[in-house]
Amino acid sequence: MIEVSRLTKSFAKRVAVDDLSFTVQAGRVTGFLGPNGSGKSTTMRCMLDLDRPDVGTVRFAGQPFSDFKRPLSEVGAVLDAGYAHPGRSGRNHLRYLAVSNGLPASRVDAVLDLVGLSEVANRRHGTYSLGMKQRLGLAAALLGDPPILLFDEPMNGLDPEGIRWMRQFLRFLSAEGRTVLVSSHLLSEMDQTADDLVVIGQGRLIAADSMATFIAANVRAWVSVSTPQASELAVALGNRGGLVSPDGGGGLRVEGLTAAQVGETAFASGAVLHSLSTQQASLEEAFMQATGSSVEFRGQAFPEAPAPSAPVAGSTWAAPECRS
Amino acid sequence: MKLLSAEWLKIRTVISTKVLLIIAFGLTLVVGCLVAANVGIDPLGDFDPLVLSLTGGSIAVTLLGVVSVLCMAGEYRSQSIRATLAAVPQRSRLFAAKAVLVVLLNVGFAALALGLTTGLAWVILIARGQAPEFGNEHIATLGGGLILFALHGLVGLAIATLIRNAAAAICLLVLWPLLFEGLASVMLGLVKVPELSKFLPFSAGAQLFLQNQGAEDVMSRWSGGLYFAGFAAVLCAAALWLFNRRDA
Repeated sequence: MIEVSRLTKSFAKRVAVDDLSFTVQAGRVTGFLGPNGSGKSTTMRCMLDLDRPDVGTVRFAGQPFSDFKRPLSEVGAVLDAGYAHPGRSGRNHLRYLAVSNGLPASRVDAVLDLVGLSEVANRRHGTYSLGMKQRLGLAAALLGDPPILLFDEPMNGLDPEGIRWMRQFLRFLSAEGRTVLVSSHLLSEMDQTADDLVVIGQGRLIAADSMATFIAANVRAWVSVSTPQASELAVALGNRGGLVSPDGGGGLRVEGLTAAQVGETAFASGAVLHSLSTQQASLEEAFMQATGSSVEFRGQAFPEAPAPSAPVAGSTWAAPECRS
Repeated sequence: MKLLSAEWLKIRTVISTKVLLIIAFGLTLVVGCLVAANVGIDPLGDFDPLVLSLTGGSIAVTLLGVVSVLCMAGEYRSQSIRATLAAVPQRSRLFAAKAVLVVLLNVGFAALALGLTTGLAWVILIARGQAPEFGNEHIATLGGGLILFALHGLVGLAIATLIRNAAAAICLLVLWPLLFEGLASVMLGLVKVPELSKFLPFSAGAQLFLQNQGAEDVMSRWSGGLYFAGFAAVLCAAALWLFNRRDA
């Protein structure tokens, strides 16, 4: 269990983390979300005493991080894939960490094997790809087999297979009863991985809740319906209390009514239905809704483009050749 | 002991430090042999040819200082200091381990390089028909050399911790004794207080490894050493204070 209490950190006159408090439970994957520059990485560095907080405390299983005599056996962290000397081999990077915490050399080989780096362990870190560096960082975090794990953007640089592996691995770690805190900007991944969420914006806490509660609190489920008599059906649905708007794909988006109610209304008004489905709100929508006013860096707005269409039957498509 | 082993492992698993140690060792030996092979049969005044053969050590002490700088600044350059501190959050313990390693490495290197150089120079001088004496002066110079290597290493470590930039720390460590103190001596002479130049820290520390002691305008071997040790202690204290307070 991790308890963050009233954590505040400023750089010069800019407050990066502002009176932040939250708890991370054991046995669950907690996603740590926030827009760019919201203070996620600073918070994680403060949690490990790498950055000195102005105010506030962080306790891992009731103890401050600096009290641990063998921290690698208590808290494992992957904060940045590049935190290693480029001239030192991956194996030697892990060896010095293991020696510093009195861990047996056998752990080095075990974690290298676990993350799939055994064959390249003697290569210099500077020759590793971003994905390999990320795996080495993960190996370092697992060296002491700790019950608490922190990951800052662990999917960065991983290929699709690696992302899938990481997702399953995070779930496996939490299933073992470990406390897992993962910051990521890949919301679709967090949607599939996290049980709980801590959402921050401009250094302040926006929400700390379960995934389902967070989504339900920020976005409502809606019904998608397509029909050739869209305008007539829209009027009928509006009369029944639904909030109707175009869904961007030629159909209607209906809020406030169930799919059954929409179907009954269509039948009563004589509208032909081509499709009718309940759309679950996604984490992305809920996140946008919750952090909309906290985005620090925003690009120019563009009109929403239709989604790419599926390949037409009979057309040919050649996959680009991939080389590693 | 665990931390010391980890720090030693870091030093010996990076090529740049190994290359620097080999170059420093080779230079000390080669210069020593060349001096012993070419020094005049009639020694230069009061200079003992055996002590003169240790001249290469003055270059090696700078190179070992660079190794000491890299021991800390190299971690900041690669950001591996964050991985290190995530494994060892007690920063004073980490700094102490690095300081002990720097002292052991410098003293060990100096003992081996200066001892071997003395032996080779002895053989060469005997082969040339001389009968070098291994007297108190030689023992004092060797002992002073070991202390100078250790203190110079600590100064390098402290400067690296204070500056955290490898290139800037190396420049400062190399240029301070060679350039800044030289210029300061000239300036002090111009303002009619040349006697103050003996208080320049690297000049004072260098007395540890010089022969022909007793000049009025410089400190004695052991006074200079003590003064330089105080300088190194102040720098280390400042470095530790900042190391404990700064963000990594």
